[in-house]
Amino acid sequence: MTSPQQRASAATLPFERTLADGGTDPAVAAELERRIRIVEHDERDDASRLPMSARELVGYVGVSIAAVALGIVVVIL
Amino acid sequence: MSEATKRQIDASTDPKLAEEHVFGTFPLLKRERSWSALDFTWVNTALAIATWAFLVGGSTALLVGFQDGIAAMIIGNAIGLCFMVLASVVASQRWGSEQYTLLRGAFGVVGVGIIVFTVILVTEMGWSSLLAVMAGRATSQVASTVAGTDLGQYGPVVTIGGLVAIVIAWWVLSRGPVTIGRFNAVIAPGLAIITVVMMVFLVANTSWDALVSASPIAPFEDETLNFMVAVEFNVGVGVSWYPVMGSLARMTRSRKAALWPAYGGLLIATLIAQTVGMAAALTLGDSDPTVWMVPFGGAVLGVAVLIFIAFANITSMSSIVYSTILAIRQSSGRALAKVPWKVLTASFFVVPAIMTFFPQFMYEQFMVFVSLSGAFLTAICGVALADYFVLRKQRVDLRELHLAQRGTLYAYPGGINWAGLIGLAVGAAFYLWLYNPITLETQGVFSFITASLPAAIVAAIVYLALSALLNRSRTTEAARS
Repeated sequence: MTSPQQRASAATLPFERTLADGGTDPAVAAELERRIRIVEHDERDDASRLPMSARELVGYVGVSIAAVALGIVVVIL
Repeated sequence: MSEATKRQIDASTDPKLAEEHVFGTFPLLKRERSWSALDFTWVNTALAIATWAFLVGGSTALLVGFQDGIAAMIIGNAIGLCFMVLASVVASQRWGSEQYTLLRGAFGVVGVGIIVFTVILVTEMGWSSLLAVMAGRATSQVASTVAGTDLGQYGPVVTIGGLVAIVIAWWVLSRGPVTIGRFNAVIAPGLAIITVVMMVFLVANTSWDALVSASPIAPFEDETLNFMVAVEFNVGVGVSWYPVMGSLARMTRSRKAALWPAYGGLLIATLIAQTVGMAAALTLGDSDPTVWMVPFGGAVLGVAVLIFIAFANITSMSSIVYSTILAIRQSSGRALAKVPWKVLTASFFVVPAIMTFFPQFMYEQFMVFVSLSGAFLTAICGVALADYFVLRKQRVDLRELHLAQRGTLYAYPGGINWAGLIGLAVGAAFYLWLYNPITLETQGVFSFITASLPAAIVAAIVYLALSALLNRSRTTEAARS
Protein backbone atom coordinates (compact mmCIF):
# COMPACT_ATOMS: atom_id res chain seq x y z
CA MET A 1 0.00 0.00 0.00
CA THR A 2 1.36 3.48 -0.85
CA SER A 3 1.43 6.39 1.61
CA PRO A 4 -0.26 9.77 0.85
CA GLN A 5 3.21 11.32 0.35
CA GLN A 6 4.17 8.63 -2.14
CA ARG A 7 0.91 9.09 -3.99
CA ALA A 8 1.46 12.88 -4.05
CA SER A 9 4.99 12.42 -5.39
CA ALA A 10 3.74 10.06 -8.05
CA ALA A 11 1.15 12.61 -9.09
CA THR A 12 3.59 15.54 -9.19
CA LEU A 13 6.12 14.02 -11.57
CA PRO A 14 3.68 13.96 -14.51
CA PHE A 15 2.69 17.53 -13.59
CA GLU A 16 6.22 18.90 -13.95
CA ARG A 17 6.87 16.79 -17.02
CA THR A 18 3.62 17.81 -18.70
CA LEU A 19 4.31 21.49 -18.10
CA ALA A 20 7.88 21.15 -19.37
CA ASP A 21 6.67 19.23 -22.44
CA GLY A 22 4.27 22.09 -23.10
CA GLY A 23 7.12 24.60 -23.22
CA THR A 24 7.30 25.76 -19.61
CA ASP A 25 10.83 26.22 -18.30
CA PRO A 26 11.60 23.10 -16.19
CA ALA A 27 12.82 25.31 -13.32
CA VAL A 28 9.51 27.20 -13.37
CA ALA A 29 7.55 23.93 -13.44
CA ALA A 30 9.56 22.61 -10.49
CA GLU A 31 9.03 25.82 -8.51
CA LEU A 32 5.31 25.72 -9.28
CA GLU A 33 5.15 22.16 -8.01
CA ARG A 34 7.10 23.02 -4.86
CA ARG A 35 4.72 25.85 -4.05
CA ILE A 36 1.56 23.87 -4.76
CA ARG A 37 2.78 21.12 -2.45
CA ILE A 38 3.36 23.64 0.33
CA VAL A 39 -0.10 25.14 -0.20
CA GLU A 40 -1.76 21.72 -0.28
CA HIS A 41 0.16 20.11 2.58
CA ASP A 42 2.24 22.37 4.87
CA GLU A 43 -0.25 25.27 4.88
CA ARG A 44 -3.36 23.15 4.38
CA ASP A 45 -4.80 23.84 7.85
CA ASP A 46 -3.66 27.46 8.11
CA ALA A 47 -6.62 29.78 8.71
CA SER A 48 -5.81 31.74 5.56
CA ARG A 49 -6.18 28.59 3.42
CA LEU A 50 -9.54 27.43 4.78
CA PRO A 51 -12.75 27.88 2.78
CA MET A 52 -15.04 30.75 3.66
CA SER A 53 -17.59 29.46 6.17
CA ALA A 54 -21.34 29.94 5.84
CA ARG A 55 -21.19 32.10 8.96
CA GLU A 56 -18.59 34.42 7.41
CA LEU A 57 -20.61 34.62 4.22
CA VAL A 58 -23.83 35.46 6.05
CA GLY A 59 -21.99 38.10 8.13
CA TYR A 60 -20.49 39.69 5.02
CA VAL A 61 -23.75 39.79 3.07
CA GLY A 62 -25.50 41.02 6.23
CA VAL A 63 -23.16 44.01 6.49
CA SER A 64 -23.78 44.80 2.81
CA ILE A 65 -27.55 44.66 3.35
CA ALA A 66 -27.15 46.94 6.39
CA ALA A 67 -25.23 49.44 4.21
CA VAL A 68 -28.04 49.35 1.63
CA ALA A 69 -30.60 49.84 4.44
CA LEU A 70 -28.59 52.86 5.62
CA GLY A 71 -28.85 54.32 2.12
CA ILE A 72 -32.62 53.76 2.11
CA VAL A 73 -32.89 55.52 5.50
CA VAL A 74 -31.02 58.52 4.00
CA VAL A 75 -33.61 58.66 1.20
CA ILE A 76 -36.54 58.44 3.62
CA LEU A 77 -35.14 61.14 5.93
CA MET B 1 21.72 20.15 1.15
CA SER B 2 18.25 18.72 0.53
CA GLU B 3 16.60 19.03 -2.87
CA ALA B 4 13.80 21.18 -1.37
CA THR B 5 16.26 23.61 0.24
CA LYS B 6 18.27 23.82 -2.97
CA ARG B 7 15.11 24.67 -4.93
CA GLN B 8 14.14 27.29 -2.38
CA ILE B 9 17.51 29.03 -2.79
CA ASP B 10 17.24 28.74 -6.57
CA ALA B 11 13.80 30.35 -6.44
CA SER B 12 15.17 33.49 -4.84
CA THR B 13 18.25 33.82 -7.04
CA ASP B 14 17.29 32.48 -10.46
CA PRO B 15 16.35 35.51 -12.64
CA LYS B 16 13.87 33.40 -14.61
CA LEU B 17 12.02 32.39 -11.44
CA ALA B 18 12.21 35.94 -10.11
CA GLU B 19 10.60 37.20 -13.33
CA GLU B 20 7.80 34.63 -13.14
CA HIS B 21 7.29 35.67 -9.52
CA VAL B 22 6.82 39.30 -10.61
CA PHE B 23 4.39 38.19 -13.34
CA GLY B 24 2.22 36.41 -10.77
CA THR B 25 2.71 32.90 -12.13
CA PHE B 26 3.33 31.31 -8.74
CA PRO B 27 0.80 30.93 -5.91
CA LEU B 28 2.07 32.99 -2.98
CA LEU B 29 3.11 31.21 0.20
CA LYS B 30 2.28 32.25 3.73
CA ARG B 31 5.64 33.93 4.38
CA GLU B 32 5.28 36.00 1.19
CA ARG B 33 1.81 37.31 2.02
CA SER B 34 2.83 40.34 4.02
CA TRP B 35 -0.10 42.77 3.84
CA SER B 36 -2.03 43.29 7.07
CA ALA B 37 -5.59 44.62 7.10
CA LEU B 38 -4.19 48.14 7.59
CA ASP B 39 -1.75 47.79 4.68
CA PHE B 40 -4.52 46.62 2.37
CA THR B 41 -6.80 49.40 3.60
CA TRP B 42 -4.19 51.96 2.51
CA VAL B 43 -3.80 50.28 -0.87
CA ASN B 44 -7.56 50.42 -1.41
CA THR B 45 -7.76 53.99 -0.13
CA ALA B 46 -5.05 55.04 -2.62
CA LEU B 47 -7.10 53.53 -5.43
CA ALA B 48 -10.49 54.77 -4.24
CA ILE B 49 -9.51 58.41 -3.59
CA ALA B 50 -8.00 58.73 -7.03
CA THR B 51 -9.45 61.70 -8.86
CA TRP B 52 -11.89 59.57 -10.85
CA ALA B 53 -14.00 59.50 -7.67
CA PHE B 54 -14.64 63.26 -8.01
CA LEU B 55 -15.94 62.67 -11.51
CA VAL B 56 -18.24 59.87 -10.30
CA GLY B 57 -19.68 62.21 -7.65
CA GLY B 58 -20.14 64.94 -10.28
CA SER B 59 -21.87 62.54 -12.66
CA THR B 60 -24.22 61.42 -9.88
CA ALA B 61 -25.15 65.10 -9.40
CA LEU B 62 -26.42 65.22 -12.99
CA LEU B 63 -29.40 63.13 -11.87
CA VAL B 64 -30.05 63.72 -8.17
CA GLY B 65 -29.56 66.31 -5.43
CA PHE B 66 -27.19 66.07 -2.47
CA GLN B 67 -29.22 63.88 -0.08
CA ASP B 68 -30.49 61.49 -2.74
CA GLY B 69 -27.00 61.45 -4.21
CA ILE B 70 -25.47 60.34 -0.91
CA ALA B 71 -28.11 57.60 -0.68
CA ALA B 72 -27.55 56.48 -4.30
CA MET B 73 -23.79 56.35 -3.75
CA ILE B 74 -24.13 54.31 -0.53
CA ILE B 75 -26.65 51.85 -2.01
CA GLY B 76 -24.91 51.52 -5.37
CA ASN B 77 -21.40 51.03 -4.03
CA ALA B 78 -22.62 48.70 -1.25
CA ILE B 79 -24.29 46.39 -3.80
CA GLY B 80 -21.56 46.56 -6.44
CA LEU B 81 -18.70 46.06 -3.99
CA CYS B 82 -20.54 43.21 -2.23
CA PHE B 83 -20.53 40.82 -5.17
CA MET B 84 -17.36 42.21 -6.78
CA VAL B 85 -15.32 41.47 -3.62
CA LEU B 86 -16.84 37.99 -3.23
CA ALA B 87 -16.09 37.19 -6.88
CA SER B 88 -12.49 38.42 -6.95
CA VAL B 89 -11.00 38.61 -3.45
CA VAL B 90 -12.07 35.41 -1.67
CA ALA B 91 -10.55 32.80 -4.00
CA SER B 92 -7.39 34.79 -4.78
CA GLN B 93 -6.73 35.37 -1.10
CA ARG B 94 -7.24 31.72 -0.18
CA TRP B 95 -5.08 30.19 -2.91
CA GLY B 96 -2.58 33.04 -3.30
CA SER B 97 -3.15 32.94 -7.06
CA GLU B 98 -4.10 35.83 -9.30
CA GLN B 99 -7.76 35.83 -10.26
CA TYR B 100 -7.48 35.14 -13.99
CA THR B 101 -5.78 31.78 -13.40
CA LEU B 102 -8.63 30.90 -11.02
CA LEU B 103 -11.20 31.75 -13.72
CA ARG B 104 -9.99 28.95 -16.00
CA GLY B 105 -12.57 26.54 -14.61
CA ALA B 106 -15.43 28.90 -15.40
CA PHE B 107 -14.36 30.05 -18.87
CA GLY B 108 -11.54 27.75 -20.02
CA VAL B 109 -8.02 29.01 -20.64
CA VAL B 110 -8.88 30.46 -24.09
CA GLY B 111 -12.15 31.84 -22.73
CA VAL B 112 -10.25 33.74 -20.03
CA GLY B 113 -7.94 35.08 -22.74
CA ILE B 114 -10.96 36.31 -24.73
CA ILE B 115 -12.33 38.10 -21.66
CA VAL B 116 -9.00 39.64 -20.72
CA PHE B 117 -8.26 40.86 -24.25
CA THR B 118 -11.75 42.35 -24.67
CA VAL B 119 -13.68 43.35 -21.53
CA ILE B 120 -10.75 43.78 -19.14
CA LEU B 121 -8.40 45.45 -21.60
CA VAL B 122 -10.99 47.91 -22.92
CA THR B 123 -12.17 48.73 -19.38
CA GLU B 124 -8.69 49.40 -18.04
CA MET B 125 -7.64 51.33 -21.16
CA GLY B 126 -10.72 53.50 -20.67
CA TRP B 127 -9.88 54.23 -17.03
CA SER B 128 -6.23 54.91 -17.92
CA SER B 129 -7.29 57.31 -20.68
CA LEU B 130 -9.52 59.15 -18.24
CA LEU B 131 -6.76 59.44 -15.65
CA ALA B 132 -4.33 60.72 -18.30
CA VAL B 133 -6.85 63.36 -19.40
CA MET B 134 -7.44 64.38 -15.76
CA ALA B 135 -3.68 64.73 -15.23
CA GLY B 136 -3.58 66.77 -18.45
CA ARG B 137 -6.38 69.04 -17.21
CA ALA B 138 -4.52 69.61 -13.94
CA THR B 139 -1.38 70.45 -15.95
CA SER B 140 -3.34 72.86 -18.16
CA GLN B 141 -4.81 74.61 -15.12
CA VAL B 142 -1.37 74.98 -13.52
CA ALA B 143 0.03 76.36 -16.78
CA SER B 144 -2.92 78.77 -17.07
CA THR B 145 -2.27 80.07 -13.56
CA VAL B 146 1.46 80.50 -14.12
CA ALA B 147 1.03 82.10 -17.56
CA GLY B 148 -1.92 84.23 -16.45
CA THR B 149 -4.05 83.16 -19.40
CA ASP B 150 -6.86 80.67 -19.99
CA LEU B 151 -5.54 77.64 -21.88
CA GLY B 152 -8.94 75.91 -21.88
CA GLN B 153 -10.30 72.74 -20.28
CA TYR B 154 -9.87 70.68 -23.44
CA GLY B 155 -7.04 72.58 -25.18
CA PRO B 156 -3.76 71.23 -26.56
CA VAL B 157 -2.01 71.62 -23.19
CA VAL B 158 -4.40 68.98 -21.80
CA THR B 159 -3.22 66.56 -24.48
CA ILE B 160 0.45 67.40 -23.87
CA GLY B 161 -0.03 67.02 -20.10
CA GLY B 162 -1.85 63.72 -20.63
CA LEU B 163 0.92 62.38 -22.84
CA VAL B 164 3.60 63.41 -20.32
CA ALA B 165 1.56 61.70 -17.56
CA ILE B 166 1.47 58.49 -19.64
CA VAL B 167 5.24 58.57 -20.17
CA ILE B 168 5.84 59.03 -16.42
CA ALA B 169 3.33 56.26 -15.59
CA TRP B 170 5.14 53.97 -18.01
CA TRP B 171 8.47 54.84 -16.33
CA VAL B 172 7.03 54.07 -12.87
CA LEU B 173 5.59 50.80 -14.20
CA SER B 174 8.86 49.80 -15.81
CA ARG B 175 10.51 50.05 -12.39
CA GLY B 176 8.20 47.30 -11.09
CA PRO B 177 5.68 46.86 -8.27
CA VAL B 178 8.03 47.97 -5.49
CA THR B 179 8.28 51.48 -6.96
CA ILE B 180 4.50 51.61 -7.43
CA GLY B 181 4.06 50.63 -3.77
CA ARG B 182 6.48 53.34 -2.61
CA PHE B 183 4.63 56.04 -4.54
CA ASN B 184 1.26 54.82 -3.24
CA ALA B 185 2.49 54.97 0.36
CA VAL B 186 2.98 58.74 -0.08
CA ILE B 187 0.08 59.46 -2.40
CA ALA B 188 -2.70 57.73 -0.41
CA PRO B 189 -2.41 59.71 2.85
CA GLY B 190 -1.73 62.90 0.84
CA LEU B 191 -4.89 62.46 -1.20
CA ALA B 192 -6.92 61.76 1.93
CA ILE B 193 -5.73 65.07 3.45
CA ILE B 194 -6.28 66.98 0.21
CA THR B 195 -9.81 65.60 -0.12
CA VAL B 196 -10.66 66.93 3.35
CA VAL B 197 -9.02 70.29 2.48
CA MET B 198 -11.10 70.51 -0.70
CA MET B 199 -14.32 69.80 1.22
CA VAL B 200 -13.42 72.60 3.68
CA PHE B 201 -12.77 74.99 0.77
CA LEU B 202 -16.06 74.04 -0.81
CA VAL B 203 -18.16 74.58 2.30
CA ALA B 204 -16.26 77.80 3.17
CA ASN B 205 -16.80 79.25 -0.30
CA THR B 206 -20.43 78.22 -0.69
CA SER B 207 -22.86 77.27 2.09
CA TRP B 208 -24.35 74.13 3.57
CA ASP B 209 -27.89 75.35 2.79
CA ALA B 210 -26.98 75.96 -0.85
CA LEU B 211 -25.51 72.46 -1.03
CA VAL B 212 -28.51 70.65 0.47
CA SER B 213 -31.07 72.61 -1.54
CA ALA B 214 -29.20 72.46 -4.87
CA SER B 215 -31.11 70.87 -7.75
CA PRO B 216 -29.64 68.11 -9.89
CA ILE B 217 -27.85 69.42 -12.98
CA ALA B 218 -29.50 67.51 -15.86
CA PRO B 219 -32.18 65.11 -14.57
CA PHE B 220 -34.86 63.14 -16.44
CA GLU B 221 -38.51 63.99 -15.76
CA ASP B 222 -39.10 60.82 -13.73
CA GLU B 223 -37.59 61.27 -10.22
CA THR B 224 -37.63 57.55 -9.44
CA LEU B 225 -35.81 56.82 -12.68
CA ASN B 226 -33.21 59.50 -11.85
CA PHE B 227 -32.52 57.89 -8.51
CA MET B 228 -32.32 54.35 -9.88
CA VAL B 229 -30.01 55.36 -12.75
CA ALA B 230 -27.79 57.06 -10.13
CA VAL B 231 -27.83 53.88 -8.03
CA GLU B 232 -27.05 51.74 -11.09
CA PHE B 233 -24.19 54.04 -12.09
CA ASN B 234 -22.67 53.64 -8.63
CA VAL B 235 -23.14 49.86 -8.72
CA GLY B 236 -21.10 49.98 -11.93
CA VAL B 237 -18.43 52.00 -10.15
CA GLY B 238 -18.26 49.40 -7.34
CA VAL B 239 -17.98 46.55 -9.83
CA SER B 240 -15.32 48.40 -11.84
CA TRP B 241 -12.68 47.38 -9.28
CA TYR B 242 -13.03 43.75 -10.34
CA PRO B 243 -10.10 43.63 -12.82
CA VAL B 244 -7.49 44.52 -10.17
CA MET B 245 -8.76 43.30 -6.79
CA GLY B 246 -7.84 39.61 -6.98
CA SER B 247 -4.24 40.34 -7.91
CA LEU B 248 -3.97 42.63 -4.89
CA ALA B 249 -5.83 40.43 -2.38
CA ARG B 250 -3.43 37.51 -2.85
CA MET B 251 -0.83 39.61 -0.99
CA THR B 252 -2.87 39.66 2.25
CA ARG B 253 -2.17 37.50 5.30
CA SER B 254 -5.70 36.33 6.03
CA ARG B 255 -9.23 36.44 4.72
CA LYS B 256 -10.17 39.09 7.28
CA ALA B 257 -7.23 41.20 6.09
CA ALA B 258 -8.52 40.88 2.54
CA LEU B 259 -12.31 40.90 2.72
CA TRP B 260 -13.10 43.80 5.03
CA PRO B 261 -10.43 46.27 3.84
CA ALA B 262 -11.49 45.56 0.26
CA TYR B 263 -15.16 46.16 1.02
CA GLY B 264 -14.98 48.77 3.78
CA GLY B 265 -11.87 50.54 2.52
CA LEU B 266 -13.22 51.00 -0.98
CA LEU B 267 -16.74 51.85 0.24
CA ILE B 268 -15.78 54.52 2.78
CA ALA B 269 -12.91 56.09 0.82
CA THR B 270 -14.97 56.17 -2.37
CA LEU B 271 -17.95 57.75 -0.61
CA ILE B 272 -15.81 60.53 0.88
CA ALA B 273 -14.18 61.47 -2.44
CA GLN B 274 -17.43 61.11 -4.41
CA THR B 275 -19.23 63.35 -1.92
CA VAL B 276 -16.66 66.11 -2.53
CA GLY B 277 -17.10 65.74 -6.29
CA MET B 278 -20.89 65.80 -6.00
CA ALA B 279 -20.88 68.81 -3.66
CA ALA B 280 -18.62 70.71 -6.07
CA ALA B 281 -20.80 69.84 -9.06
CA LEU B 282 -24.02 70.87 -7.29
CA THR B 283 -22.73 74.21 -5.98
CA LEU B 284 -20.15 75.20 -8.63
CA GLY B 285 -21.40 73.34 -11.68
CA ASP B 286 -18.18 71.33 -12.09
CA SER B 287 -16.98 68.26 -10.16
CA ASP B 288 -13.42 68.43 -11.42
CA PRO B 289 -11.14 70.00 -8.78
CA THR B 290 -8.76 71.05 -11.55
CA VAL B 291 -11.34 73.69 -12.50
CA TRP B 292 -12.16 75.23 -9.12
CA MET B 293 -9.14 74.58 -6.92
CA VAL B 294 -7.08 77.60 -8.07
CA PRO B 295 -9.91 80.17 -7.81
CA PHE B 296 -10.76 78.91 -4.29
CA GLY B 297 -7.35 77.94 -2.92
CA GLY B 298 -5.36 80.78 -4.42
CA ALA B 299 -2.49 80.47 -6.87
CA VAL B 300 0.09 78.87 -4.55
CA LEU B 301 -2.10 76.36 -2.68
CA GLY B 302 -4.22 75.70 -5.77
CA VAL B 303 -1.23 74.96 -7.98
CA ALA B 304 0.37 72.76 -5.27
CA VAL B 305 -2.83 70.74 -4.96
CA LEU B 306 -3.18 70.40 -8.73
CA ILE B 307 0.39 69.17 -9.11
CA PHE B 308 -0.34 66.59 -6.41
CA ILE B 309 -3.56 65.57 -8.17
CA ALA B 310 -1.75 65.19 -11.49
CA PHE B 311 0.84 63.00 -9.78
CA ALA B 312 -1.85 60.97 -8.00
CA ASN B 313 -3.45 60.20 -11.37
CA ILE B 314 -0.12 58.92 -12.61
CA THR B 315 0.32 56.50 -9.68
CA SER B 316 -3.31 55.32 -10.00
CA MET B 317 -2.67 54.65 -13.66
CA SER B 318 0.47 52.65 -12.83
CA SER B 319 -1.42 50.54 -10.27
CA ILE B 320 -4.29 49.52 -12.52
CA VAL B 321 -2.10 48.98 -15.57
CA TYR B 322 0.25 46.75 -13.54
CA SER B 323 -2.60 44.38 -12.63
CA THR B 324 -3.92 44.45 -16.20
CA ILE B 325 -0.53 43.61 -17.71
CA LEU B 326 -0.23 40.68 -15.29
CA ALA B 327 -3.62 39.45 -16.53
CA ILE B 328 -2.59 39.87 -20.16
CA ARG B 329 0.70 38.07 -19.59
CA GLN B 330 -0.99 35.17 -17.77
CA SER B 331 -3.80 34.88 -20.32
CA SER B 332 -1.67 34.98 -23.44
CA GLY B 333 0.01 31.64 -22.77
CA ARG B 334 3.42 31.62 -24.41
CA ALA B 335 2.47 34.24 -27.01
CA LEU B 336 3.69 37.20 -24.94
CA ALA B 337 6.10 35.32 -22.67
CA LYS B 338 9.14 36.57 -24.59
CA VAL B 339 7.96 40.18 -24.87
CA PRO B 340 9.96 42.39 -22.48
CA TRP B 341 8.01 43.98 -19.63
CA LYS B 342 8.81 47.52 -20.83
CA VAL B 343 7.53 46.79 -24.34
CA LEU B 344 4.37 45.16 -23.00
CA THR B 345 3.57 48.12 -20.75
CA ALA B 346 4.38 50.62 -23.53
CA SER B 347 2.01 48.77 -25.90
CA PHE B 348 -0.82 49.09 -23.40
CA PHE B 349 -0.49 52.88 -23.35
CA VAL B 350 -0.90 53.34 -27.13
CA VAL B 351 -4.72 53.61 -27.00
CA PRO B 352 -4.80 55.87 -23.88
CA ALA B 353 -2.21 58.09 -25.62
CA ILE B 354 -4.50 58.39 -28.67
CA MET B 355 -7.48 59.14 -26.42
CA THR B 356 -5.69 62.14 -24.86
CA PHE B 357 -6.31 63.88 -28.21
CA PHE B 358 -10.05 63.61 -27.49
CA PRO B 359 -10.31 64.80 -23.86
CA GLN B 360 -13.86 66.16 -24.19
CA PHE B 361 -15.12 62.84 -25.55
CA MET B 362 -13.67 60.99 -22.53
CA TYR B 363 -15.41 63.31 -20.07
CA GLU B 364 -18.75 63.40 -21.86
CA GLN B 365 -18.96 59.62 -22.31
CA PHE B 366 -17.86 58.81 -18.76
CA MET B 367 -21.25 57.55 -17.49
CA VAL B 368 -21.81 55.47 -20.63
CA PHE B 369 -18.35 53.95 -20.29
CA VAL B 370 -18.82 53.01 -16.61
CA SER B 371 -22.29 51.53 -17.17
CA LEU B 372 -21.33 49.65 -20.33
CA SER B 373 -18.22 48.09 -18.79
CA GLY B 374 -20.33 47.38 -15.69
CA ALA B 375 -22.75 45.33 -17.80
CA PHE B 376 -19.98 42.88 -18.70
CA LEU B 377 -18.10 42.97 -15.39
CA THR B 378 -21.24 42.15 -13.38
CA ALA B 379 -21.92 39.18 -15.65
CA ILE B 380 -18.31 37.97 -15.19
CA CYS B 381 -18.78 38.30 -11.40
CA GLY B 382 -22.03 36.28 -11.59
CA VAL B 383 -20.34 33.42 -13.45
CA ALA B 384 -17.25 33.53 -11.20
CA LEU B 385 -19.40 33.38 -8.04
CA ALA B 386 -21.52 30.50 -9.35
CA ASP B 387 -18.41 28.59 -10.40
CA TYR B 388 -16.40 29.01 -7.19
CA PHE B 389 -19.09 28.91 -4.49
CA VAL B 390 -21.82 26.72 -6.03
CA LEU B 391 -20.30 24.43 -8.66
CA ARG B 392 -16.87 23.80 -7.12
CA LYS B 393 -17.85 24.48 -3.50
CA GLN B 394 -14.64 26.52 -3.00
CA ARG B 395 -12.39 23.62 -4.05
CA VAL B 396 -9.93 24.10 -6.88
CA ASP B 397 -6.98 22.03 -8.04
CA LEU B 398 -3.96 24.31 -8.50
CA ARG B 399 -2.03 21.80 -10.61
CA GLU B 400 -4.95 21.35 -12.99
CA LEU B 401 -5.41 25.13 -13.22
CA HIS B 402 -1.82 25.50 -14.38
CA LEU B 403 -2.05 22.50 -16.69
CA ALA B 404 -5.23 23.96 -18.24
CA GLN B 405 -5.62 22.29 -21.67
CA ARG B 406 -2.92 19.75 -20.85
CA GLY B 407 -4.82 18.55 -17.80
CA THR B 408 -8.30 17.08 -17.42
CA LEU B 409 -10.36 19.14 -14.93
CA TYR B 410 -10.25 22.52 -16.67
CA ALA B 411 -9.59 21.40 -20.25
CA TYR B 412 -12.41 22.27 -22.64
CA PRO B 413 -12.80 21.80 -26.41
CA GLY B 414 -10.87 24.66 -27.99
CA GLY B 415 -10.02 25.92 -24.51
CA ILE B 416 -13.46 27.49 -24.10
CA ASN B 417 -16.07 26.61 -21.49
CA TRP B 418 -19.14 27.71 -23.42
CA ALA B 419 -21.26 27.57 -20.28
CA GLY B 420 -19.22 30.46 -18.87
CA LEU B 421 -19.04 32.57 -22.02
CA ILE B 422 -22.74 32.11 -22.83
CA GLY B 423 -23.61 32.91 -19.20
CA LEU B 424 -21.55 36.09 -19.50
CA ALA B 425 -23.17 37.07 -22.81
CA VAL B 426 -26.73 36.42 -21.55
CA GLY B 427 -26.06 38.31 -18.30
CA ALA B 428 -24.66 41.32 -20.16
CA ALA B 429 -27.53 41.23 -22.70
CA PHE B 430 -30.05 41.11 -19.85
CA TYR B 431 -28.38 44.16 -18.28
CA LEU B 432 -28.54 46.09 -21.58
CA TRP B 433 -32.18 45.07 -22.04
CA LEU B 434 -33.06 46.39 -18.57
CA TYR B 435 -31.01 49.56 -19.00
CA ASN B 436 -29.28 50.68 -22.18
CA PRO B 437 -26.72 53.32 -21.13
CA ILE B 438 -26.26 54.51 -24.72
CA THR B 439 -29.90 55.14 -25.66
CA LEU B 440 -30.96 55.55 -21.98
CA GLU B 441 -33.95 53.25 -22.65
CA THR B 442 -35.11 51.32 -19.58
CA GLN B 443 -37.66 48.61 -18.83
CA GLY B 444 -40.30 49.40 -16.22
CA VAL B 445 -38.88 46.84 -13.81
CA PHE B 446 -35.51 48.67 -13.82
CA SER B 447 -36.95 51.25 -11.42
CA PHE B 448 -37.36 48.49 -8.81
CA ILE B 449 -34.44 46.11 -9.34
CA THR B 450 -31.84 48.17 -11.31
CA ALA B 451 -29.71 46.16 -13.75
CA SER B 452 -26.37 44.97 -12.31
CA LEU B 453 -27.51 42.61 -9.57
CA PRO B 454 -30.21 40.94 -11.72
CA ALA B 455 -27.69 40.61 -14.57
CA ALA B 456 -25.19 38.90 -12.25
CA ILE B 457 -27.91 36.52 -11.01
CA VAL B 458 -29.04 35.70 -14.58
CA ALA B 459 -25.43 35.07 -15.64
CA ALA B 460 -24.95 32.74 -12.65
CA ILE B 461 -28.17 30.79 -13.34
CA VAL B 462 -27.40 30.40 -17.05
CA TYR B 463 -23.87 29.25 -16.20
CA LEU B 464 -25.08 26.63 -13.72
CA ALA B 465 -27.83 25.41 -16.06
CA LEU B 466 -25.48 25.11 -19.04
CA SER B 467 -22.82 23.44 -16.89
CA ALA B 468 -25.38 20.81 -15.91
CA LEU B 469 -26.29 20.38 -19.58
CA LEU B 470 -22.94 20.65 -21.38
CA ASN B 471 -20.51 19.47 -18.72
CA ARG B 472 -22.62 16.88 -16.90
CA SER B 473 -20.08 14.11 -17.51
CA ARG B 474 -17.24 16.17 -16.06
CA THR B 475 -16.04 15.96 -12.47
CA THR B 476 -15.25 19.11 -10.52
CA GLU B 477 -12.43 17.50 -8.55
CA ALA B 478 -9.31 15.60 -9.54
CA ALA B 479 -9.26 11.94 -8.51
CA ARG B 480 -6.19 12.39 -6.29
CA SER B 481 -7.78 15.12 -4.17
